[in-house]
Amino acid sequence: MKNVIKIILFALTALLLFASMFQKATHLWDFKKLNGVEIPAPMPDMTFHTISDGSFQTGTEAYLKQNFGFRQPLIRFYNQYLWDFYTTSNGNRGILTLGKDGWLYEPWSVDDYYQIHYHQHATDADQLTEQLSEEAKRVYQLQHILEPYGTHLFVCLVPSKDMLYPEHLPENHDTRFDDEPKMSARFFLKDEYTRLGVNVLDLGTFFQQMKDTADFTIFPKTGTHWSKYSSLFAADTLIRYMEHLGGINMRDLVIGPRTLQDAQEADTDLENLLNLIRPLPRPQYYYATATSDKDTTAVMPKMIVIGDSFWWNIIYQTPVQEIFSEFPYWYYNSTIYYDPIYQSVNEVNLANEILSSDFIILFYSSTQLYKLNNGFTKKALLALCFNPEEIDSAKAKLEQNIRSDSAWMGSLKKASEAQGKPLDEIVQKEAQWLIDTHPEYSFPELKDSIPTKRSKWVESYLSSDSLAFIEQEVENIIRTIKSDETQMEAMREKAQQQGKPLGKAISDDARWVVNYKLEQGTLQIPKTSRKSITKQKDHGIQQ
Amino acid sequence: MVFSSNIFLLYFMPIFFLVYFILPRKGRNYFLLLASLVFYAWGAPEFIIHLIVSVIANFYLVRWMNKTEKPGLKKLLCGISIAISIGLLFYFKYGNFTMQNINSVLSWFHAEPLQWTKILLPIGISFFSFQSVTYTLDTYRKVNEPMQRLSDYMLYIVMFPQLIAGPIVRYCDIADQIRNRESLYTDRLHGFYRFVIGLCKKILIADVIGFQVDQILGPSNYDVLTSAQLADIANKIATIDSTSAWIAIFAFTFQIYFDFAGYSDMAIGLGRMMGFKFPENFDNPYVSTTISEFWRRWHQTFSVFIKNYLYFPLGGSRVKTEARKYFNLWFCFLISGLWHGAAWNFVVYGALQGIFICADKLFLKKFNERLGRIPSVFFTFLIIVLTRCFFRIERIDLSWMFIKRLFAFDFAPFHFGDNPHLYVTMIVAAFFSFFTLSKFGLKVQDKVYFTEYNRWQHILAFIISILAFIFCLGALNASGFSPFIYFRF
Repeated sequence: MKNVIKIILFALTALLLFASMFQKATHLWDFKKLNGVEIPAPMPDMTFHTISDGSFQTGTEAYLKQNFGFRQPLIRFYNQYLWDFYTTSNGNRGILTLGKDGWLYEPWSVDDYYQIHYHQHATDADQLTEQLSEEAKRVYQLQHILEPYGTHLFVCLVPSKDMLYPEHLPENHDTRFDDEPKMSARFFLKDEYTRLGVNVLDLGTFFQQMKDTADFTIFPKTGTHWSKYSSLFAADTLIRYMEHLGGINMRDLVIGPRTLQDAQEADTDLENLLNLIRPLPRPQYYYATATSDKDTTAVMPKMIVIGDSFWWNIIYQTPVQEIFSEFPYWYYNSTIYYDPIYQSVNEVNLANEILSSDFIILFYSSTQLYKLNNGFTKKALLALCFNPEEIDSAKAKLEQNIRSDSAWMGSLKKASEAQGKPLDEIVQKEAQWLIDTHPEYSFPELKDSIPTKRSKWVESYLSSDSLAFIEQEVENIIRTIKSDETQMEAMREKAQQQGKPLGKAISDDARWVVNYKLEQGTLQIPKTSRKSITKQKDHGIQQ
Repeated sequence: MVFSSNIFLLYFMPIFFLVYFILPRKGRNYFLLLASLVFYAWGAPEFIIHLIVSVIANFYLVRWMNKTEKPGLKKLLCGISIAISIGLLFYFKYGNFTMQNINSVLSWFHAEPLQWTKILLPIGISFFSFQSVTYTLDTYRKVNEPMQRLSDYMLYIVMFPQLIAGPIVRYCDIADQIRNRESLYTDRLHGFYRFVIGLCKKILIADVIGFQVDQILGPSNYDVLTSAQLADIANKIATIDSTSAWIAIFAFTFQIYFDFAGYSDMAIGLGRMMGFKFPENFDNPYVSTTISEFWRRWHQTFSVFIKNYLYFPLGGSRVKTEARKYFNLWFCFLISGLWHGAAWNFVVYGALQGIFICADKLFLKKFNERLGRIPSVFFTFLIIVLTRCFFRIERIDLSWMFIKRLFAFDFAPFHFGDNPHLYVTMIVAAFFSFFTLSKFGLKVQDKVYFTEYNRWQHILAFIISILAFIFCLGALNASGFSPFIYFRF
């Protein structure tokens, strides 16, 4: 009898050990997905090479860590324990910090308030000052280079939560940098932009002035971005500033009546990362919908936003498609959203895209200012001032310099061995990195107050209505395709493969051909007309 | 593969035991051998061939040694066998260290450095090399007959529960169990309970504390760090306040115990599930009243190995002079320090332990006796904590700098609320470390670890183990899950 109990207990143990595999195979129970984004780990290919170098094993472990049965409830269960017993979370390992009265902050936002965040981006305050000054100068240069072409560049200083609600921040017990000077990019850059005369819309000051009189929360207690409701005011202010800067009349934002509701997901984005079993009590916030006044006489400009995640609330909350003709969002100057053609900044003809826009907005919150616009200004200056062949030649020269330096080559050889990549590729990457990060080394003209040299793209924009020309070319190619049954058959197949409507597939193809011809120089833009700011287009938002 | 990983807990372990228990007895050892090779190859595929070849070579050498009647040849073959095991250990573990030091000396004389390609350390080499040595020497001393089958010998060396981090199982302790053992349901259940206890020690205590220690002192294993990371660590240590320094070193002292003891518990538990009785490796080391006692309680199988295979051959305590006796003692600890890692800080760590052991024999033990049990336990613990500085901080100059920060009396205010999870975990760790100071604690320990359970005790232990296992899985996966609100670039 005693053994029967042991057999039963052992069998139950075995069942428990197999439960996860069973759940993974059958998905018998549905569990709420974990909130937040993580970089997906794919199941690696199993080959002799991947097994012998260990990459199959590490890849498989990473894959299984994200894909085993009962993952969601197990993680939520442990997180709930941490929260209930210690009012803490695994987020404390880098994602969130608990402030006073249950307020949540991102840790870098807390560090920035105490002015120690810069240590993660520069060795000391002097180095940071130099970096920020150079970046401010580049913004100034770009603004002045673009002005004659009707493209208005401006900086939008976005507040972070610590700036508006410092009263709920945790005390700073980090004494490591007590002997170092205090420094924060937000203050330094604001002063520097003002000194240089850079166009700046300071939404931080705007909301700080609003805070005392506003009867709503500008930043939600358990969120990190401005509230959905506040973002409407940010958008409205932004439109008014653009009207002022461009000297144009744009469609107005009409904010509807507000209602008090339980906090929505976007306003609890930090709490969501806690991934608890029992959600925290939901506060109530104001919510409203916004439309445009649909003024048919208004200008619908094209803007490019290069910025961080604060833009999401604006784009989700406001009818941008009614106010702007195009509004691509260059997220951290990397992935492109809301662009009918491009998905990555690396794909675009930078000068062409910039010059075809009416507004370029550098839209970063305080803690992201240290990232120096994610390299946008450097790349834009290069693209506007130098031809691709000049850049290639500078790169070739740098490669030559690298190859003739034995110490440099020695360290690159090590990197090549460590990364398992050919040495040539590493050398090319090193040269490209140098061009991207220190363009002024290869192009001393960039050290001038405002560089006078222009690339061929800019020259062609000086006196031509390039957009109209390009659109005309696209139309011509579309007509050619449509008149040729063989090409149409190929397009039908392509559209089916890509899951696009036929019209869209033809248009994308035609646009690609025009861009390719322009890049190859087989198509020249005539220097006869100018870009029109009032050009209207109807683009839907692609989520 | 490590025990505290999803791949082991959710895939390897269930599948292994399912197949193992389904198979007839005759096939179990072969399957265990195959699984052990897979287990090893998973983490170190590049070394599996080396492991197999060295094991085969040693097996035939020892067989030859056992058969030959010529004492000279016997001795020679024994020497070759040991030289292979220790030589490989030396090459892989100390090759880089030796060359680094030779080149340092050469640089003093402005000589050209010797060319040397850095080699990787095969995981577990310290443990399987020592087990090979015990096999050779136990056979040579006629303590046991050598294995008849290569597969049995290979199993002894590569058996996955103790392959990576011990316990170091001497051949004489396990020779019979390899051919003849029984796995009763009691053993399977007790083994599982023991495994879960080890898992809790590792995941709920050691890993929680370890993460925080890394936050304060920076990562360990300086070999793989860049110059910038090392400079950051140096800066951290130079500017650390005394409160944080003491918290860090106490925390590390608990971390290393619960990490290592947890791993040993898991190994012993897995072994017991298969019917093996592995020797115990830890016996409440932090309740020791002297440093000598500490080393009898800490990593016991290693201490036994050093005693039997190094201290005794050196002459042990039966030597002509007192000085030689103390030298033997000190030398054994110096070597054991070096065994922990190929760096000068480990040499200093070992040398310090040796000095305290000698001091024990000379006067410290008597001094501790006068202090009384509880004060001497805490005095001994304090010595252990301080010497751990040389263990955790892998550069002597930084270790010394850290010790100075400990005694700089530059105390920052302590805020429990800053890190309640760490402090509560440290309190739990301290409680279990010193629990057996009381008779009640000893009784509880004896009941949990070494007594057969009745039906109700089994049911209770089963429920607790299952809950603890689930909890550990949650902790293991939640700790590595730090999602972003959005992707950042």
